[in-house]
Amino acid sequence: MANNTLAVANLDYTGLRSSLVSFMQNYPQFMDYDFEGSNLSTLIDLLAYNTYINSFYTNMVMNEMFIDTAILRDSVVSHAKDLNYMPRSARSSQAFIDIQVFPNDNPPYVTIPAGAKFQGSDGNNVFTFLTTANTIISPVGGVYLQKNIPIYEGVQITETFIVNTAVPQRFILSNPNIDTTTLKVGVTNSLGANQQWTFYPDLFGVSTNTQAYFLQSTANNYEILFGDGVSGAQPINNARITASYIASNLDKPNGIQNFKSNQILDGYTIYTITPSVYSNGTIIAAAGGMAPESIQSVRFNAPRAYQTLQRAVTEEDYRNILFENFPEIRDVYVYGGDQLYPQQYGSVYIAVDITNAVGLYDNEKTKIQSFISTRAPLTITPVVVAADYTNIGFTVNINYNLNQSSLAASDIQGEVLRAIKTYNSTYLDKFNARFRYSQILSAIDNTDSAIVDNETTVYLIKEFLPVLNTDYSQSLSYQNSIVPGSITSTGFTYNGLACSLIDDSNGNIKLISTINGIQTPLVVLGTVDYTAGVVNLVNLNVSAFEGDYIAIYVTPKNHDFNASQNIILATDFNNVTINVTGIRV
Amino acid sequence: MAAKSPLPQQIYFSDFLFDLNKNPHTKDLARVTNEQAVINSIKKIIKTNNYEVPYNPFFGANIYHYLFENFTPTTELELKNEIRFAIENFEPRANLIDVVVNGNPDGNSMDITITFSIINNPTPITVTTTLVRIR
Repeated sequence: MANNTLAVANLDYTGLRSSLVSFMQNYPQFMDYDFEGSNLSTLIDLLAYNTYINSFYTNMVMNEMFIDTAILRDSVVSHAKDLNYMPRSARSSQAFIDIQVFPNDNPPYVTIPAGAKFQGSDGNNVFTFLTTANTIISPVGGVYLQKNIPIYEGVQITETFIVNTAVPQRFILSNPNIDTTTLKVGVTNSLGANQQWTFYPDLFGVSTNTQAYFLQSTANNYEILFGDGVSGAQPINNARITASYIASNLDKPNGIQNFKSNQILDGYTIYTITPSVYSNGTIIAAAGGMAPESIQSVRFNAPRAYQTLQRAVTEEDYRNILFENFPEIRDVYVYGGDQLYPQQYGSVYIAVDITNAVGLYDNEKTKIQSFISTRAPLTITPVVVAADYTNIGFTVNINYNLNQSSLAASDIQGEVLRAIKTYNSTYLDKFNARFRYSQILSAIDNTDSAIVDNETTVYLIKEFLPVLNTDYSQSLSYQNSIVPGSITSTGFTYNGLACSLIDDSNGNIKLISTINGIQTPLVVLGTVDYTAGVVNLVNLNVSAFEGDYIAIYVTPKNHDFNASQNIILATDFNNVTINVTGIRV
Repeated sequence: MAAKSPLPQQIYFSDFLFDLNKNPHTKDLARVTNEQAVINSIKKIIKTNNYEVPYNPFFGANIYHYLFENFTPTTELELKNEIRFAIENFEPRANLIDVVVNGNPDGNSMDITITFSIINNPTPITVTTTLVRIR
């Protein structure tokens, strides 16, 4: 039977052409035609080419019609717009500096102006950082010192548009590396005076006269929109629109800690610039610089943002909103105040961990807290807390069969370390993590078929930075029961003696001095609740300590343990010891 | 396409004219048939350059560029090979007998004579065409 149907599934040119040819060959009118070199073949080529272009075009159009399959950024952004989602712009790296000015005329205050420039260097590259607001430094005891001044990496760009109401007009900002959080929009009024208009993410709270501007993303840029005179004020004809913003070098300046300036600050040339520090003394390095949100990220976040509708009600809402608006956040865990002791009813605790940063500096905490407060239910008080790390140390003793493997002990050691790293990134290093002893044992055993057995001991580590030469108190919660008599610490100097801490199995933390390998108990410096897993240190007066901090090691009572609330369980790779012995079996 | 067996007094090969002329009597699309259809096809093949047909880059004899090169003793041989290769590959209805290329360097042209027979009909058919530079 003749095949007189056209195959429609072909999308490639050759397939389309051959199906057209076989279709025509089955008609008597075309049986005496040749389809290779004849003039008819030219028409067949044309028809096949046209069909191919159409099918390709249709395929592309269908792809771009859905956010799941769209490939072009323009299309993905457009679909996100339907979901009231604005893709995040690039972000400037943010750093904090302390400035101390030494004026010679005792002024009432010194002003660091908005736009003051500072050079940040990582040794290879130099980046420009800017202030975005005026900072007033008032003297305290004759010292003109201001701490934690935020500075942003990038160049200040100002674009100007003249409104022409006679034609449709778009106000597209030209630099694709704009950090929209730094955007300031000024519009001149009928008297020619420039007025700052306010950014509104939606029409909520916008009335006829609200001087609001809106933003929307185009393929690679951002566009400023204004109201129509009903929902938000409309700029008058010939008004001058001034958009100033910072365009950044994305994530390249992250990690910079050295800053300087050659500028004259408010007329003074003698001043010092130092990076700000956390409460524990660690330097706050520049962080948060990043590229504009990727297509994949928009595809993932847009439907979820729509689901949340910018309201923080469920735990997932908090997570989605925070991830969307604070891209520097690495992990979030939300829990009710009723889980605390004593209970804090009416509060929601939001534990936040920041990428490439230790702890959570005050400005960031305030920023997150004020952001989430407006989106939480009225009766709920959101409390933002920093992540607190409980580290896990391992001592792994391995026997492996020399008859079964030609690997050296150091190779096995490397493979096991890699297995522990994989375990850490898969199951740990996040909020609400759970450590399962059996999993780590089998992960180590499965590293190499030559491994005969492994004997792994696990301990928990908490670190703290004491205030030197002060009676210092510190409470450390391991959130898991502790084996009595298992507590030890790193060394420090107390009353001129090299000391460390141990517990006496009766709930007391004792100071011990070790001289020539002989341990001498000195005084009790705290208590330990073995069941709750809490170590309370009191009156610890330290003049120096080993390393960067004092670490307290404990052995957990149970093989499996977990972390809740704001605790992150993570492997401390400085405390992973792997001993490998080759045996013949 | 599989070649058809020629039958006496029968149209076994057809094609229409490249300029889509109509038959003055029937007002239908004018057809050329049998030998003339194959001759037209061969002319079309040798006048087509590579990459002219979409997604079939090696279709054609690719001989036009010879007009813009110096006429050397090997040019005629190269041309013959190109034409032979094209007809043998793209015109299954023809049995190629000979290709003669006569260069006219002073006139910037080449006369090509192709002798072939149609399958199942041994009568030789000769096609002559001239390639001339127009610029």
